[in-house]
Amino acid sequence: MTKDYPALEVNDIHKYFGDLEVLNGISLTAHYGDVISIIGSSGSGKSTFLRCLNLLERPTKGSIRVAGEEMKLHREKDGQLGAADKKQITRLRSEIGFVFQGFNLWAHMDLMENIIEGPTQVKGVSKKEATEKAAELLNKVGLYDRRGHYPSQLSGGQQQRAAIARALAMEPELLLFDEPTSALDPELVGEVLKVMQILAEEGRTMLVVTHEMGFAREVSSHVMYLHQGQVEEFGPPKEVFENPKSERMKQFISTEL
Amino acid sequence: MIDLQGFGPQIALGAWMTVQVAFGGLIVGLVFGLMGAAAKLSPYAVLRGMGQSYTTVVRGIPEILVVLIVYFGGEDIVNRIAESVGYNDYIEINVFVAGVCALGLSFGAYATEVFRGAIQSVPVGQIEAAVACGMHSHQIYWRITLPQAMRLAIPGLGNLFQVLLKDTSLVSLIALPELMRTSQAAIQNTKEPFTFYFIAALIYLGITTVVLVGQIYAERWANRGVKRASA
Repeated sequence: MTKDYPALEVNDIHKYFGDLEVLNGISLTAHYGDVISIIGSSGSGKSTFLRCLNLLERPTKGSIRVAGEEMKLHREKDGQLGAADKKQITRLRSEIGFVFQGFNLWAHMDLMENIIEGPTQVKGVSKKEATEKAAELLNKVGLYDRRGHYPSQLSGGQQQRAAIARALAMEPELLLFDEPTSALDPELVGEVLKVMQILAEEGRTMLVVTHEMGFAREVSSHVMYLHQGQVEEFGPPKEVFENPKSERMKQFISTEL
Repeated sequence: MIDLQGFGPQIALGAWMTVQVAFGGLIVGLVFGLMGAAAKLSPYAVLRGMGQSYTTVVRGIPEILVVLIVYFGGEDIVNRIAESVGYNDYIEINVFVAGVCALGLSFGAYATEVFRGAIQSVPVGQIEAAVACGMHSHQIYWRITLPQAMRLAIPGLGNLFQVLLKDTSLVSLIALPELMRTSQAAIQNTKEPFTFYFIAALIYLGITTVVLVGQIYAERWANRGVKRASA
């Protein structure tokens, strides 16, 4: 994928909850094909950062460019930055796949309906075309034979794989994963990581907030270590894990591994 | 067998009218209820105030007064408006329309609270997933929030509908020939109150039972995709 702009450019994101500063100026550029693992102890702001990128959480300051396009933001009454252009934000969101810790598959729809909902409603794809594409994606994540099942009839690992297929169905420019395996029983983590690894190998652009150090080390192209809302360490996993510059990163590695 | 003394067809028509008024009131009431809930959950203070006033006022006065006020007050208002635009013939409000509106208004006030609670109980993650894939707020409301809220609302709405069905008898006061009114007409002629009140009671019970069965199916449908302990 050669494009003359990065998939994502984030500049100086700050986030306050009241007086509490959760993000303290985070910048990041993700080029096409990058797989960036975002790690850090709980409370370091990594999930908040990820949620700011598609405005599920509104930042207090900063700017975001998705596929070269500046997200239009304006200051709202409560002091946070909100979307200034409703049409633009829904379009940009449709270009950013988001995978949640708690899966959040729509409970009243079966798997097939879950996956075609976005393409048909948001992108105006015909039901027939969306269904064909969804069948492919369900095959890819190994759930085609479960297409008529409701989320509640599936294991957490299956739900998360379906949620990944749902995100892929929108053909997004980049994929954001918010602790995708943290809500899973340990024996189900592997099947989800495997799917994510396949996506990484396909050259998809991914930001992954994770506690899976194995994934961060083996699969990602870059690792970003956050501490108290700041980037403490950033680089290729080999460098970050084997030769950390900061004391905190050293400590973090020793507790996580 | 009970002797209906020729009033059978009239009572059957009355029962049919009762069913029509009840379902009419249900439809109007669901619309009012959805609008009321949307108003009460609105970010705009004016809309919230309107929603709050609606539920406070309508729930605070007896149903029978709502029926009378809508019928007589409604007729008055319609005629004044007609007069002000230069139309001088007296307009009579259709009793059926007035009855359906009155019952719907009242049902809607209670349904507002049922919908509000149900909408607030939809897990936030379900909405976030819709936001994240780029859905507009009205798409989210109609395709995600409402279908899921419905599941939670059906038991409460079913309960209200049972009440509404019986409140249709209040519409007899404005001379709509529903079950209560036709039964009373039969009693005046035959002087057999017990027979006809008893029959009316049986018919109400029959209708509410059918509605209960319908509610069970509606709940089963709305609960698709929800794990049950026995499943």
